Amino acid sequence: MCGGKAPDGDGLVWRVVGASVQGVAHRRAGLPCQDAQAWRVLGSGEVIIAVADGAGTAPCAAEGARLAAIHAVDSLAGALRAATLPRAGKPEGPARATADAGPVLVAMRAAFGETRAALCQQAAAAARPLADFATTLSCAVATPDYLVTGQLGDGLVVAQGKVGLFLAGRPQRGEYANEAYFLSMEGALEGLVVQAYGLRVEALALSSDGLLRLALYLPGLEPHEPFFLPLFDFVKGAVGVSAQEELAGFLDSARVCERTDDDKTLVVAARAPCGGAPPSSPAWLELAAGDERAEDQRQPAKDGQA
Amino acid sequence: MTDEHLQQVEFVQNPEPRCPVVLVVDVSGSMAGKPIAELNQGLQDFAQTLKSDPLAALRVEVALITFGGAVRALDVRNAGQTEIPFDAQNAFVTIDAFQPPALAASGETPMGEALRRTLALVRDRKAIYKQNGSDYFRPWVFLITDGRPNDAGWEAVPDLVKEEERRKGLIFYAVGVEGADMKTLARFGEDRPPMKLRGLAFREMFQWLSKSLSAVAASRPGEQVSLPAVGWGQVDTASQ
Repeated sequence: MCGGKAPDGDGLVWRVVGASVQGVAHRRAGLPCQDAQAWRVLGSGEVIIAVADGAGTAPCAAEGARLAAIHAVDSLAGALRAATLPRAGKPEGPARATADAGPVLVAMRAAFGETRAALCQQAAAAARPLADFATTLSCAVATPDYLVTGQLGDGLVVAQGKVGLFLAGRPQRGEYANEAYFLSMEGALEGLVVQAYGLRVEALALSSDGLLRLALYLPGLEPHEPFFLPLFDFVKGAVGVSAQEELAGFLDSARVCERTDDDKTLVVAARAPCGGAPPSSPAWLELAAGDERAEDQRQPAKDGQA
Repeated sequence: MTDEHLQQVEFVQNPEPRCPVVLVVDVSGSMAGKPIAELNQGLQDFAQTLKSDPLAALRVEVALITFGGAVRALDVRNAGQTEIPFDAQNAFVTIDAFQPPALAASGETPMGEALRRTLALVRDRKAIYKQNGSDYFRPWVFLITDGRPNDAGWEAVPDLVKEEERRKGLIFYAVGVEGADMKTLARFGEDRPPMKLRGLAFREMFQWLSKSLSAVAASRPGEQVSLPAVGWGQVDTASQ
């Protein structure tokens, strides 16, 4: 076993690092970082990642994004556990996810529906319109056999498999540069795009739109290899909280900030050999048995939140 | 070791999103004298203000269409010294290269033709953006006139402009200067009534326009753009 996680047939486990950093424009305007990210690596070896980007002028955007990312990952983790099967010949070992993507496609749609419902509840509890919590949401689930993505809004998912690098979650963009789609919109779920890719994914990256113009070519949205491949190499060698700080530092670096003044979120995941100390999680995280997860790993000092 | 990898991350050089605006300006005979002089000063202010905003300077693109006798697209790379082909390839210039001309006034008011051709210009410009892979903001068409259209067939044009606004194809602003036929002007817009310019407050009007365009050029997906308050004119409800 490898830190409680079951290595796959090749002895590899998922390593994940994620960070959200307040954008220069928000810092200037005194607005908090309105991006959020959450991820989980299940004891059975699957990875679940969510990235959410709150709408700039929505009063509760940061809260909406955080709620969306966390709720989506929770919902997907629950569904995956329910869909697991015991490993052949090792009934006492950790289960693995079903080899059929069908249930996960359903679970992905359900996760978005449940997350929207949770936003509605939050809005009602705060006596605010749902639009105050406007956020995008991008999710990915990777198992040894397939990748499933769910997209609502202009976040992106890029994956690497035997076929090479490809855009697995396409940003939804309006005709105009300042048009957007949010989970809070009337009829938003009809615009949700869920896709399954029947291949084994070796690495994944999810991002909010702050990095879109740096990472993808316009207009075709092709992923830029020299952006993603070094990030995958980085995460393969990543160790614990310092890796998360390094990623946050990169997102806040001068060379990124001069290209975009938006909030930036990046979650990078790659399969790496099981060996050495597993990434350690911050003490304040509560871990389910066999799980490793992290939620909303912002740098408090940077965006002024406790 | 991990730092090294992050240092190796390279970025795509994508074109900046474009924020196009077409100024459609009445240079008919009645604008001669003080009106055109103030308007020219306003144009200079407009250029200067936008040039001093680094983001707007890269993103805002201007085309200047005049109508007075003839309908012309002016070369705003070159202070209007030459007339250029009235097409989307030639008519637009980024703010950092924008040199506004000194306009002269004479002739009748072919406003219908000016607007009809402007609609085609905007449509063609979007096609160019799509080809180049540029993002763009919703184009602005900003009409300034002191009269009423008197070219043949102008009556069909108000509906064309309205329809384009309804489709969210552009944002249309009409500004009437003293003497303008506000009732007729009101027929062109779908979303907002025409503004009546306070006296000859062109400079304030162009300041407002440059601030508004700066706000749009900096806006992010899903943001409501707050435009500055209009001190230079008022909404004309009398003609509704």
